[in-house]
Amino acid sequence: MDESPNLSDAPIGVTCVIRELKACPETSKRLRELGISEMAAVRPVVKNRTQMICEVHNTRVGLRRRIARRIVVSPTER
Amino acid sequence: MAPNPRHIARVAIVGNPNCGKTTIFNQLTGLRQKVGNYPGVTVEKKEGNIVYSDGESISLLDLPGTYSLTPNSPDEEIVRDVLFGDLLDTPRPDGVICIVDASNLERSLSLVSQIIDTRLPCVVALNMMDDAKREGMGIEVEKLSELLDVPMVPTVGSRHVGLHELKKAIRGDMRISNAARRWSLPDCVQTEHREIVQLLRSHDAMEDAKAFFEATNLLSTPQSLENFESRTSTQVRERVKASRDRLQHLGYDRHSLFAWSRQNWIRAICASCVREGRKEKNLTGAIDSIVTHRFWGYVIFFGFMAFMFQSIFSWATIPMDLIGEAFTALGKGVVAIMAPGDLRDLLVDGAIGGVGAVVMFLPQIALLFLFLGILEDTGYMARAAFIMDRLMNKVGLHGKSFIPFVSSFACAIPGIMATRTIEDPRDRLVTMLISPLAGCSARLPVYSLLIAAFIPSISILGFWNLQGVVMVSLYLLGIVFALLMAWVFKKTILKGEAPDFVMELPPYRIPSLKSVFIHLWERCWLFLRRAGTIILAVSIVMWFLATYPKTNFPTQSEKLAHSFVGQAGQIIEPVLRPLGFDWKIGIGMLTSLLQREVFVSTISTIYNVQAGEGDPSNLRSQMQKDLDPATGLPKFTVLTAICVMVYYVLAMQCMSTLAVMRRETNGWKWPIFQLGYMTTLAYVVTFVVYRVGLHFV
Repeated sequence: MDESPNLSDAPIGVTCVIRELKACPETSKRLRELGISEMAAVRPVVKNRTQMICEVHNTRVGLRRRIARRIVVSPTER
Repeated sequence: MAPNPRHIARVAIVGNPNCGKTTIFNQLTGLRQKVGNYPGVTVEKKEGNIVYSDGESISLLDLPGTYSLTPNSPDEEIVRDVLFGDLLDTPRPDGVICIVDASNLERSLSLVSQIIDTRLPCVVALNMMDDAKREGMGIEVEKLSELLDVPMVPTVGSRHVGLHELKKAIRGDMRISNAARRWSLPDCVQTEHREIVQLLRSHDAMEDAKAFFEATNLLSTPQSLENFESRTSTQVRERVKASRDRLQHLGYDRHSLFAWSRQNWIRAICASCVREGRKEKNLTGAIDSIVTHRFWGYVIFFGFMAFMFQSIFSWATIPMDLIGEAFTALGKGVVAIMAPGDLRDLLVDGAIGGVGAVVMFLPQIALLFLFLGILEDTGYMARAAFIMDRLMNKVGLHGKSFIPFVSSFACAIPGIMATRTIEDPRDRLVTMLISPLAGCSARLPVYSLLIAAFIPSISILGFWNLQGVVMVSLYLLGIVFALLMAWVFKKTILKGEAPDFVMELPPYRIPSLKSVFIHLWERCWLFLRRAGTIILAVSIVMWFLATYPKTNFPTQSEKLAHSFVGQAGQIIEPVLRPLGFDWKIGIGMLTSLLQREVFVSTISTIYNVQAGEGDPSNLRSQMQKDLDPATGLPKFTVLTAICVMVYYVLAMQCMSTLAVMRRETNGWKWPIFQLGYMTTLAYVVTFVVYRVGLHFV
């Protein structure tokens, strides 16, 4: 199991920086098009057991937490 | 009168979804729009004209929202094909207006840079500048325009700000950017890419811009090269395969490399001329925390749907009565001025009675479209898809499939069109197969007629009306069976994993009155046109079949039973008896295979003929008073009405939907399957409801 910090585990309201997308190529392409790309700042705003909403640039993106677990992030000071 | 405008150019409008593209299109063209389809596909094609004061005009083409020119779904393919001139009957545009959400600039510029790379002349509208300012963003528009070498116009489409300047720029400043393809790839990747571009140009005779994008796609896509067999030569594919191997050997992630390089270039540009604002807690955040809540989200969604259908039922009563009275007065007027005879009966009982019985539901249909338009334009629809994703996931689909389904509450045809945003072909097909189970507006006249005639208007818990509750229950029944059938299909004939759900949730907005009005007008006009054509024709034919051959039986009822339609009805009645239906309902069901609301006009014409000189508008009481001569009991009971409504919830009674299915699936296999499964489902469920119901009445 990959132990890298991921978007699914990032606390609500805390801005992180995306380091790597490890989802399948099709999903990664869609994520990048929606602004969830390497080096982008992302902030989880809503979470439930299976889904989450995060803010990236000025957009909100809804995704399953299963995908968010494949997005490697690191915390940032903002 | 103004002279005919001189047409000088054809321009396409391109932008990400939710960037305000259609609002700007509506503002620039007003009501001078033409809605159609691209040939061979059902993606809506909207065209309009900008007419300048000196008489020149530019035609505008509103393309579907897209995130990139390397498409993931059929509607995104349309954008690419139009921009490269690959679509029949849609010539390559002379230029592009790129609409950009200024408050989300970094992401939006990715599409702008791709448009620039097509080497089409373009102009950029920096839309939603008010949002960007509110977010505290600072954009140096001139510098950005210089760096990308394209004219840029700040706009706020919803408030008509900057549109005059945009119109001027479209005619005067649009140009090919010199910043095309400035983003850089590593040298060895650049070399591979360039060689493939050259090969595509020389071997496959591809135009430069198209070859550039095709080479990028071939190198970066996760799809197998076999998928490109129809578009590229063997030599090209062999070369691409060698390049892919070489890039992998060198340690490059070819899937992300191109997007990453482009994004780096854009990020550098944004860093030099965009000052990011400080994000404060906003209204969208506050609303989202409630409407996407795992419990309250569902309560709000289903509460809204219940409110919508209750309101449709109660608010539309007065205008419906007025329309009904107008048709009655028209009928009486014709009776007063014409001599008795077949022609008068044809006009009063057939044409006026049949068309009037359907047209009187226009206020309900308008309300339904108004509610759905508001749902869409406020941004709530995407939240509904988000919360329903949990449910859709359980049946093997994702939340995106819910949007076409909700659109189908208006009409299954735009619902099926909306499936083109779904990437996975199997999921798209499942969504198309279940979409007609959503209660479309054509069912509304059937439900309303039967509910008003047979369900008592009593209050439940003080604030729900039983009639409204029955209406909501019918829609819920459609949703439940749609989910059930999706689960069955995904477990059997269209097996597959539930896809990943990733979706943009646009900010909440107050809907533009103009956009809502235009949408409402288009849909109501379509309904009226159908009433004036198909329904009028069917009503006339039905009157003829219900009147001839003329017989000498003493009662109207017996005359009707021996008419053509009566005789045909007796033939089909044995098949429908197990459902509790008599031959009149059977004829209504048969004619409404064309479209569901024809049931109302057919029943209306049959009862008008049976009533003879009766009041053509009073269909409800005619149905209530219709007695079985053998038993003396009413033919139409509460149970019969419920069974008819259940049948209409589940049956595929719409030829137009089947035609669209045929076009979307390139054949008759799936439409025939859809007709078969829905009719069987409707028959079996109605039979069960009738048999169970008999124990309670």
